[in-house]
Amino acid sequence: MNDDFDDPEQQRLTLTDGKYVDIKKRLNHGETEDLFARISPYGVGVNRREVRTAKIEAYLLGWNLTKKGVPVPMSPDLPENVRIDTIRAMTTGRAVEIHQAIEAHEAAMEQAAGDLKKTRGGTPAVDPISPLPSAPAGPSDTSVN
Amino acid sequence: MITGVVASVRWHYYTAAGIHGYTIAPCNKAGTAWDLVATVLLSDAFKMAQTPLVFVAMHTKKGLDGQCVVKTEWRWPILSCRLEAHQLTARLGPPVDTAHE
Repeated sequence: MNDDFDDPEQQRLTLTDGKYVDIKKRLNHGETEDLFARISPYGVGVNRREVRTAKIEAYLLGWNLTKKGVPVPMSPDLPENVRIDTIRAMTTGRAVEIHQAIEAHEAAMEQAAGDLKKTRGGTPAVDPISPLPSAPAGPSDTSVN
Repeated sequence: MITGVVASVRWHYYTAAGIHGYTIAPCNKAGTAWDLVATVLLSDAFKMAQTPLVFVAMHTKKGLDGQCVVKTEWRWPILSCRLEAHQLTARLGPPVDTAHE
């Protein structure tokens, strides 16, 4: 049976130049809500400035990125504004690479979830087009007109 | 007995509780069990009910060169705990490992 609450799991995504990022394998409901709220705070349109940064921030747990050879801290323990500022300070190339890696990870997870649903398929317990219990059996020959 | 200020309770990569002020005392000479009393600033009720929980005490000290600051984490597994009115009392197992930054 499928669980309704996941245990946190992390996954390492390999980048170019021997670099990597550690990310959450899945976002839970609250984290997804936070991500949507950041991307579209008022529910209408999207905040273009936040779209990629917010997704990276939502997933990111750690990395081995450096500045002049010195490791740059990244951890869930850091304040959110520090995490956001650090992500925004990355080179565009590295940020795009991380975002694309996360998007590919998301697509793979969705694909895996879809495949799992298919294998669990089978005959549904209730026929979705079965008549209501109160509906008359057979054709009706009465009319109000 | 160990006393400190900054610590947290972790569930996997999540912080289940942020602590400001704690005391740890060994229950036996072998150091296989410890008692924790801590003041909790913020906590997540769901995460605090999960397992495994780990108590993480953070402290900083100067490196061998006397200048750079080394952040160290000491970790104890939480065997059982009780959180009431911002006071956390817990029974800890032996410290597992330390992380340096």
